[in-house]
Amino acid sequence: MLIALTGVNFPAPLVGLIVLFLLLLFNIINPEKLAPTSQLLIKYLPLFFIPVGVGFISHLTMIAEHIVLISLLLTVLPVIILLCVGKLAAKGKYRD
Amino acid sequence: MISILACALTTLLFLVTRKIYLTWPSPLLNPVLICIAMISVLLLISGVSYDQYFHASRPINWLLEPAVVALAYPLYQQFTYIKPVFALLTLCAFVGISLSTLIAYIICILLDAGDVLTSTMMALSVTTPITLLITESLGGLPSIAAAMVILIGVLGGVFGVYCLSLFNVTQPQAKGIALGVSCHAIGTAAAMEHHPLAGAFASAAMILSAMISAFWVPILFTILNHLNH
Repeated sequence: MLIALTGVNFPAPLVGLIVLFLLLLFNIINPEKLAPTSQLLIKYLPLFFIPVGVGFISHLTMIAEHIVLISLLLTVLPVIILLCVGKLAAKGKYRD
Repeated sequence: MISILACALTTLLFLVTRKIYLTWPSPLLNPVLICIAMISVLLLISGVSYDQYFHASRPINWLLEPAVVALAYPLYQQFTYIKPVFALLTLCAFVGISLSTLIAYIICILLDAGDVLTSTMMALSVTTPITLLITESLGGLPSIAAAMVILIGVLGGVFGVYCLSLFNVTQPQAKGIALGVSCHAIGTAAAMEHHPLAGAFASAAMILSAMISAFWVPILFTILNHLNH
């Protein structure tokens, strides 16, 4: 509803996430009451995106066509991010 | 009837593969990865189209959105933990996400990927359910983005800790942050196994990245598109 009102293209579940987080943070909702439901949902969260994940089989030709691009992104991208974020995070002071 | 069968099969397969994963916790045995691979092979062999399967398994898909909302709970739980290093975590997540989107965009343009595939690759540095939502809103193909994110997670889970040691990143906290930002849930699991502190920082970094990505990736994508045209 918030999305419909503002007209901003922003995923509704994320708005829900942020609103719920703020409600918890300001003690408007009792976290203990929320715990059983949310823990159950999160435990099975990976299951819920399997049906969408299988959808790549509808795009096999496209994947084959762009296999160089895809392999490049799969390998180069995580290495660069790991290196940069790792180096940046290493500058932090941590208490052990 | 078909719907019950598809849901039951998917759920059963997930429960079995998760049991296997809990017995031998290796990133290569990631339950989602194995389930997606097995169901794909099953569909291709049996000749059932993906649309038929997706239609039949929609009840599972419906639970995705409430489950994303439920992520507010662990975020709330982590919040006291995140607070003292909030600025550093935010900076790391922001830099990681921006680099990921920027580099993916440049590679896509250089290799002539086309609009749809470029939109698909914009949110690879974030946990899968959030990737799905962002990719869909950008007009990409959520299923390919999801598969990419899971594979990146598996690669990071297998080689991430070793890679960071190679780059001379030694503190477990810093390793955790890097794994959480770049390799999401699977990287976080690997970080937890490496060191409890790495695990805690990885999961905090992952959740924070999810929030920042949701706001920032669509904006950055729009900016990049403007610059390019």
